[in-house]
Amino acid sequence: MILIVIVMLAVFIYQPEEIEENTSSHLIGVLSSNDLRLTKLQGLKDGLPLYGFREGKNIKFLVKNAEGNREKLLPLAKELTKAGVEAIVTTGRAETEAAKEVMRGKDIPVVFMGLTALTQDQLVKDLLHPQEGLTGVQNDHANLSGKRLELLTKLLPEINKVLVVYDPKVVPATESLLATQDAAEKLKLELQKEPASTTDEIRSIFNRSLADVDAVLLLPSFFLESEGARILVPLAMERGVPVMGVEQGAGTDFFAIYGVTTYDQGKQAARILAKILNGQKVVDIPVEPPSELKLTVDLEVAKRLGLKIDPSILGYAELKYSKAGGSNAK
Amino acid sequence: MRNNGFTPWWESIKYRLLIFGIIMSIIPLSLLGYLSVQTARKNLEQNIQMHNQVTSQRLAADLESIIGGQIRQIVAVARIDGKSLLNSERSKQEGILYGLLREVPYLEEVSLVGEDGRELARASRRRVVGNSLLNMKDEEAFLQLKEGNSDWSNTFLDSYGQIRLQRIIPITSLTDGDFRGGMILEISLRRVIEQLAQRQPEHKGRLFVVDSKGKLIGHQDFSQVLRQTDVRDSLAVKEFMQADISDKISAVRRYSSYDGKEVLGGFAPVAGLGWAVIQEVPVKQAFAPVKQLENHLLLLGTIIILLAIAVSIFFGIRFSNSLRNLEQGVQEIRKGNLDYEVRVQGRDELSRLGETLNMMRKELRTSRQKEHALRQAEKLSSLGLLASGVAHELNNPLGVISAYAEDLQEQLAEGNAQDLVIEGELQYYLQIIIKQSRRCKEIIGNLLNFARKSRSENEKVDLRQVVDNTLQLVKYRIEKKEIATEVNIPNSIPTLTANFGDLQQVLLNVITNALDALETGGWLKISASIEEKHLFLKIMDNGSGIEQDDLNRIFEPFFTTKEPGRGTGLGLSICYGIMQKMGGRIAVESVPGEGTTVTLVFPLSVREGK
Repeated sequence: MILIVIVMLAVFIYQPEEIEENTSSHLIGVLSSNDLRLTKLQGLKDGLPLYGFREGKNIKFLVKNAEGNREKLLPLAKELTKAGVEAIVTTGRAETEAAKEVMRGKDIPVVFMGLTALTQDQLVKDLLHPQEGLTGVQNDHANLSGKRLELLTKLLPEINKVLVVYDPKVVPATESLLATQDAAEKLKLELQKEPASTTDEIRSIFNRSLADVDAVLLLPSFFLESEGARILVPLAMERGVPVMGVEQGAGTDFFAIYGVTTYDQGKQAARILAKILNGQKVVDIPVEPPSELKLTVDLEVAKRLGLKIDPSILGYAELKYSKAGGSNAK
Repeated sequence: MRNNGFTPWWESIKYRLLIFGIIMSIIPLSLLGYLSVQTARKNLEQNIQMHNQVTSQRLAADLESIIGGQIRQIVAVARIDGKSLLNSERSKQEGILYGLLREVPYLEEVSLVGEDGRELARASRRRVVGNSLLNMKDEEAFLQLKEGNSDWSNTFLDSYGQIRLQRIIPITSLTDGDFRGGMILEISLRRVIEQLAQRQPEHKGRLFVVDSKGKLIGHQDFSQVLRQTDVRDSLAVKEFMQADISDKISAVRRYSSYDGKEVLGGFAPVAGLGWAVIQEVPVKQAFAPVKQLENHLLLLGTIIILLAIAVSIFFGIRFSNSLRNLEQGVQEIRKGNLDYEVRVQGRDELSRLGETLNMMRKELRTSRQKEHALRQAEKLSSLGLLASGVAHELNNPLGVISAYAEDLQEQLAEGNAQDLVIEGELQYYLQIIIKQSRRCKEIIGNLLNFARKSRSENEKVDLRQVVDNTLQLVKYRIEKKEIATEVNIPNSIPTLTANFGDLQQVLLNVITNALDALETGGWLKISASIEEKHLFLKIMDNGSGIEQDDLNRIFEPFFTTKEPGRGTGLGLSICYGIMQKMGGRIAVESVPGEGTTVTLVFPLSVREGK
């Protein structure tokens, strides 16, 4: 009778599961320098369901955020390895370097969500066959610096001299400067190149005379896109000079940005992470170039600065009408 | 039931029911499961093939639509507004070209070329154009434009790792048809394939596009394009590359693809482009639902088999318990235990059989009780007939006692008591009185022994003692008729295990009948012998004998030839029943006028030593 009861209970309790490709649960570590870059994580989460992975169902994320302090990245990466993550997803170069450092000798793949100038410092030597245990999405931010300069001149045809601010401590600086200089020659523009790795250096730039500078172009840099931009952009705005950035920074009033969005970089990385979770080796997964590039122009900033924009190029842009404390794009 | 009480397990109903339950659950379930899986597999394969064919055609149409649809719009714009576009300022031209880049997401670059081959404007997503416009008058693309061709170039891999192809669109005068210039579009197939893949998010397999030479130009997994994976080993690609069928839809087949994986795949050509969309679903993935069905059937089958085993065990135990109860009941009744109650559970056929057995037992017990009462009545009847004989038998010793007692009393009254003691006469008198008293006691004891209700238990019985005691009861009649008796029971005759009272009742009945048939001076012989494992006790007389007609009926109840009041007619009938009960038999041989021989036969199985 006991056997019958057990069998009846088993029949009652048993319900056939729905077909699910990926049923085992994966723990993924996420390493980020700041909140701003975590937008990429949202893109990643939104992209993974296309490949059968849903957060909370068969994949979990352990997020480690350095909150602006780069010194914390290495210990945080070590915490991720101790937590037994299956792979580490990084949101930028500093995070990737920290992850690469702690992954040395371990079989934990690293997927980066948007890096540039990868081969310059040989972070990844062969983009088609990554040997270092790293793969992911490159955002071409360095290469696109020249295109940003061109688009800036297309938007503001009257500009003649552009202040180019770069962070000499970051790897992409050289490649970005080269691309910018090449573009300036083609566009017959005058450049004023200023290095800045600290807020004091940024203030120092603006303490000098900037009367003949028509616009500012920021080159890719963790510092410049976050903390630096929060100092630089208001100083430039005070002087009526528009700033063209790389990615949208929090609380910054860039006149325009161009490139693959942080969200799209994360979404594109979802496919690569899915391949790793499905058992593919990193060496068989090439680093992917960015898929979609977007030009975003903040008309509110242009209005505040009284800029004369060539409307013909606006057909290519997403237009944004930022307000204090909010934004609206269409 | 075997004599030794051992039944092999495979002959047990319990195990047979269990095996039956298992077989009857496994065989139909296995057959049904096998048929279901085979049917599901066949249907699924057909569905996948049908779905893949339809999807491939749709994807090919979509691909043509994605590329060709928007290109046709650009062609229309170029045809209608091309001339004004060529005559516009460069900034306006660039604005329109950048607008095209925004509206057509897979466009990487667009160039506007004048009729002299000079590039008038260019919009690019990645490259800086500046003032470095080209003179294209000697380039193949411009020469094609001048020819009025509107065609696709071959695909090529750009420095950004993207597969591209060119499309030229000539601009001519609407009025005279003269060549005025043209547009050169560079298209990124990666964006096209991404867009194509997004149109069928439910697709579980892989999707890729090859050109007419079988070269991979687009893949759902962009890594394959970046690495320029050779997909020409795929059967679908091979079939597509055969020119004669390149315009047909391929049947979906099962084959090993370029990466060695077994797939269900097929192709559909893309109209106007010379490409094909290949769609492949790994067999393992395609048949995952069947595999899951198999697993579910296996699990459910196991559960059902366990259930069948449990039910078979339950009913097997219950059924065999009922049978065991019935068997136990029959065994007890066979042993004569008529008080044994068969346990009855439930209301099934076996339970009803048990109830019937109990009813039968009760009826048998009642019948036995009646039979017993009848025997007792017959016995009492015999006692009645014996009474006068016994009374006479008692009269003799009592007369002796009385005479000696009176004589002794007289001598004591004469006052010579002392002399009686001295001479030993007193002792002599008392011994006679005691002896005769014991004789009386013996006669009465014998009578009481016979009269008492016989017990059902068997005991060791000395045949000689039974014969002596019985003759003692009829001693008066024997003496009165001066019958010569002869008892010949050898010492080698063993004791019997039987009921003393029953045996005595049989003997008394037979001897009484013999005495009734004997004339004065006749003889009565009783002898015992052993032949062939049976003990024969013969009671012979030389009385009047029995007529043949009567001989045939002597064991019938209530049949008697005696005068009324001399018998119940049940005597021999009861004897017959008693001998049957003991496993023996009774036989009567008689010759009228010469005498009768009654033979009692006892099986030696009831003997027990000497």
